[in-house]
Amino acid sequence: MSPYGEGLNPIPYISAAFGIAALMLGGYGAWIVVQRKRLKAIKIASQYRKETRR
Amino acid sequence: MESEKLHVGMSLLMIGLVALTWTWGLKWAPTELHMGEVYRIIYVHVPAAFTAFFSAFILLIASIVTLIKKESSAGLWGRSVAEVGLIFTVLTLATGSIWGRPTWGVWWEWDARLTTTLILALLYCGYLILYSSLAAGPQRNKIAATLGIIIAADVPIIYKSVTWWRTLHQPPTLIRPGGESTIDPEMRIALVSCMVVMIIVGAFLTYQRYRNLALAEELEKLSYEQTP
Amino acid sequence: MKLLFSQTMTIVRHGFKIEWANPERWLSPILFAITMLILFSFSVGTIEGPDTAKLLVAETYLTAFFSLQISFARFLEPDQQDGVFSLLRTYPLSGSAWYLGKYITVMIMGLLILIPTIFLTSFLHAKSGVSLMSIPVITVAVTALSGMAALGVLLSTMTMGSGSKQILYPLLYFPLTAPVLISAVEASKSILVDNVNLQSLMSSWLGLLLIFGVMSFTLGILLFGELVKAE
Repeated sequence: MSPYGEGLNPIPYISAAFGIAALMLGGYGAWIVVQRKRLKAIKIASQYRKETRR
Repeated sequence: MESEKLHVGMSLLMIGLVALTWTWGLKWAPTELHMGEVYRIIYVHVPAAFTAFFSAFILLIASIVTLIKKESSAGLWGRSVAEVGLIFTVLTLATGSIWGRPTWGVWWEWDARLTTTLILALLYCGYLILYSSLAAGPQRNKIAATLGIIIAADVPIIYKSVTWWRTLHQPPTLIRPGGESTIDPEMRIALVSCMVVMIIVGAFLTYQRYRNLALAEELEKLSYEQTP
Repeated sequence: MKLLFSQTMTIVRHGFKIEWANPERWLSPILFAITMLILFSFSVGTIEGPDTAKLLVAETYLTAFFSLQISFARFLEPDQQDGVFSLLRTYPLSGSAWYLGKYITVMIMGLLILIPTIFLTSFLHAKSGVSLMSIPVITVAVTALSGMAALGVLLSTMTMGSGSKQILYPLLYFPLTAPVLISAVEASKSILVDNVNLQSLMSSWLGLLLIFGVMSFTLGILLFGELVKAE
């Protein structure tokens, strides 16, 4: 298979592909972490509320 | 606290594994004869594609377990798998498009595998929209599980029909029908390693997302109990 | 077996009573198909040359797909509105009988849309010399319908309680039935352009349509009962 446009600089394409992969996987992972922190804070708050109601 | 340290440790391990395999693919794997350096996109495109389709298989298992065991946790697994599957499907399409430009001269071609991946992305989107649009409860889990089974059963048929329709992708390079492989052994090892690591990363993300969904469900139950 | 048959026939009779009582329900998809065909003709203009059969086949099946999707998405609405659906869930009604009854109803209503669409395309483009009104083409179309109807019943039941049904149904339906569209178009093209017979197509496109139909129907029989079971 001949590459289209021989002599084409492959660096931008390789960087774009791996960059998008890093962004997507890293971004999703970061979102999970942020969501976990928020949920844990809500859990602590609701447990405190339960304790103080007694 | 202990378990959080474990999860942080596992996250760092995942990042390390991905960095190692990508470095392997980018620096140490030999250059391809015809495509040149741009072929290295294979080390992210093919593993992402494999994980996207593997997620459909895991969705099938989660859906069957949901219908048999009628546990809400199985339903949450299904949703997590669908989300992660969508991420990898979109990644496959993006990297496939980027690879297509220098290889085929166009950003998009109606190639069999890319087209099937596009349809799978739409199906994952539909699954997640359906899940979000239904009221929480056992009925939602049943409906989502039914759709998960339909999607998983339909994917091979979609793939076959689109393959017969047209194909521009190179023929399978890992294993040919006769059993031989056309890929260089060094490249094959690098590619298989990337695929294994990507599956592990996909499983890890699915698990972490499931934990969040389970925690959210637990908090919802708590709020019902506390409501006077 | 006797019980299954009588339950199925009751559901079919009930389904036809509803469709007959509301002519709008089967008329509007047919009118939609006519409108689509007219709009296609306006967009494409005069069809002539070597690609005539290809274009006509694509036009017919796309029109049929859109019209059938409208009909399938709405077919449970009367049961829902009258409370019949909730009532049936509590009856000792076999899930298989219920599904079979709905499937037969949907197949017959689907034929009422599909056959006129094929006839209309051939009629409106009679000048092109290509006619889709042949036994092999209709066989392909009906085989395609069998799979679509099976999936249509399941999806309609699944999206019934959804707030986003209008967008969700087509979003799920079209990707899932993409193999049907591809296979039906390619099989019809082979018949019209290359004069391939149905037997030869059994090992390719027609075979795939049959597999899809059998798979969808089997999934429907297995899963419909679970979907409609009262909690």
